[in-house]
Amino acid sequence: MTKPSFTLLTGIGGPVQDGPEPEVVRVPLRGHSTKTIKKKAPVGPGTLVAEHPEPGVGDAHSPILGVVADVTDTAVVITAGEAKPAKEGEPAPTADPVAPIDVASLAGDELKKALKALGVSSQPFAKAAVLIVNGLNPEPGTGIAEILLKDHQATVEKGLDLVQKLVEPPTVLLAVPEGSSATLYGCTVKQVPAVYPNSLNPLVTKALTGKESADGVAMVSVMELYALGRVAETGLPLTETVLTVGSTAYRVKVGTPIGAVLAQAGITAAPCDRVVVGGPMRGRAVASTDQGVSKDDYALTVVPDAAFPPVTDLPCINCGECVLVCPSRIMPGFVTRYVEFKLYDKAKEFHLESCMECGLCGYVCTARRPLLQFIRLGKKNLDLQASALTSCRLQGE
Amino acid sequence: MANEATAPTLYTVAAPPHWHCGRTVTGVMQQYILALLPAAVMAVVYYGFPALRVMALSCATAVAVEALCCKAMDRPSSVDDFHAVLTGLFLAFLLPAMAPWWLVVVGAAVSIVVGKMLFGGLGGNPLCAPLVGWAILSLSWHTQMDPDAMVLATNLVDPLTQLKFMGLDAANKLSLADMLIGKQLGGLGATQVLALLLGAAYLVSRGLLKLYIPLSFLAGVFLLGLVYSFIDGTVYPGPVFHLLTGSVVLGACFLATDPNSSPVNRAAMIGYGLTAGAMTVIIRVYGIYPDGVPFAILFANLFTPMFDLIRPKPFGAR
Repeated sequence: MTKPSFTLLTGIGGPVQDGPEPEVVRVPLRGHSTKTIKKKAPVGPGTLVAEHPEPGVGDAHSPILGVVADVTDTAVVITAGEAKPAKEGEPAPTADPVAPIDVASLAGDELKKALKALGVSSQPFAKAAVLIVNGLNPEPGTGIAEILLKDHQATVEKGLDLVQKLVEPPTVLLAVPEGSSATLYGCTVKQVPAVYPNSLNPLVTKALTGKESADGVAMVSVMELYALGRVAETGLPLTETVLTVGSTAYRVKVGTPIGAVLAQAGITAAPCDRVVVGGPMRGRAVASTDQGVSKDDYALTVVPDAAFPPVTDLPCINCGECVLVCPSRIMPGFVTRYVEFKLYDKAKEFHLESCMECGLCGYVCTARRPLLQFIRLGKKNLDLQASALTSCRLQGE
Repeated sequence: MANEATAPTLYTVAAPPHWHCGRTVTGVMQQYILALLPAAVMAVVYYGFPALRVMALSCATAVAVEALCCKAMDRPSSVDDFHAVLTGLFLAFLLPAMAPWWLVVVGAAVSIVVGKMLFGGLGGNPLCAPLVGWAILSLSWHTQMDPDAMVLATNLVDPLTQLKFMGLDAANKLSLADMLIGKQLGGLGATQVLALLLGAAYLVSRGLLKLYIPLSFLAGVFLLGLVYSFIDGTVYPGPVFHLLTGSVVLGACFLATDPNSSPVNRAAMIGYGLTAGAMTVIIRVYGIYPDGVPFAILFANLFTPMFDLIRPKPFGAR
């Protein structure tokens, strides 16, 4: 068994190719309101299908011409093709065409509002003293940041202009992997060792500013800049994302079934394999390849079932590998044992919340315990405890 | 597709990471046994068939007792992870080659039952399991555990008992090079210094043995040995004598590093290794036991929870 490589410099390139033309899309919803959307409503490219109640979070739009077939809690299903007319002979109902917005001329709150209507979240872009552009590939085996910086620099720079308007930073830093020659206009380039987990935001912040706290620092990834750049170029709502599958990048419509993208890339997933949205260290494995791609996805990875030993329920043998590898300098073995036995307060004492979820502890675990799963479970339960406590206090007042 | 009515393909859904380094408990134990093979072969070279007999009996008893324990505890058998074999082998390495059969059986059984299974099996043991068996044997049957009393048909001498009972001059008659290649009396595998170092080097090259504990253990032995040889060079031997005698190398590279009974943070591992190494020399100088290594490691094991309190500040903490 060859050990996987953790380098963040894949050396791949080539322009982004067009993804598949899907017959059905499932536009993912993340807390979006589905009140305004009706079944059988005709939609066109860019038609608003679901608004998000929070001000800084982007709305959801239809990527294709079609008809709303179903609305669930997690997705709006749209089938491609023209809507059927109500009566024979009448013209088919169509959605109102979407007018482009020139975001480059806007600023401040108006720009934020426009971005929300165009499906882009502006929440992370508060005023800050330093803006860091994370130009590293997010995970090993995903060459997305490299490709976008190399072949789509102009679009990325347009996105950076928009972010600079919102953050108004005196300094803009670009983090690139060592050995990369990528630059962006107006950025001071800083090189970071090209090994995972150096691409994680807290570690990039530390490498570039020397501080472990993120106060006064705004972070943006190259993928986010590219999405903003596309919105600035077209003026139309964001209904696509760029995914790397293997060593090729595809421009994929939001909601395209994962299976369709894999089929175009010529990758087949056998039963019991893991189909992962994202990279191998942090991505989420999906149960069905019908699931739609979302705006912030950047890669698809298929991990064969037989490639790695299976996860076990063995007890921790305290070998300490996780402690030595942890970039957060916590003791994942201890923390997860506490979580396993529901001692959440004890887990908190051992700095559970400092975990940056890089996944390296689970990667090195000799007993093959699902360490990151335990850590997430612990975080979730501590959040629940905290919110229950808050509501109790409110009742008492 | 729709009218084919095929069942959907089932994929594995699991939390990340989806990659793994490939290291498993069973694999690690097998590699450790492989690393101990040179020492086992050297033991047979020096002591002949009796050494093989002790090793085989110890391993077999350990496996059988663990299987019985699992049955009694109504748990799936854990013997297939090879840890019982490794425990049996470690215990055999500490025994004299002529140990009577019942001593070996009792020692292996006690190592597994008291050292490991009473605490819930691998991952629960607070002390290094083979050392628990060794300690109970050497407190209960001191004569049968003494290589000088048991191994008579040999020209080898134990440098540590020479030092203890005959003085430094007698101990210095043995050359350090002979001790390095195992020409000294003691535990049948523990004295195979060069072969054990070879095994440890293999494990380090495979990334299965971290050097924090072994190096700090050896440093502890060396430094305190140096201090005593400066205090009175006519009574106390030099530090290299300490390093090459008894079970210092076995202890430093294999027993003190027993994962569950040793701390995990870098600074804690170094402190733990130095403590065990220094205790070894202190027991040798002031104690009644010629070789202090097993008790020194058990002593350090007891402080592992306290060493684990030494930990760095987490990322971003003020």
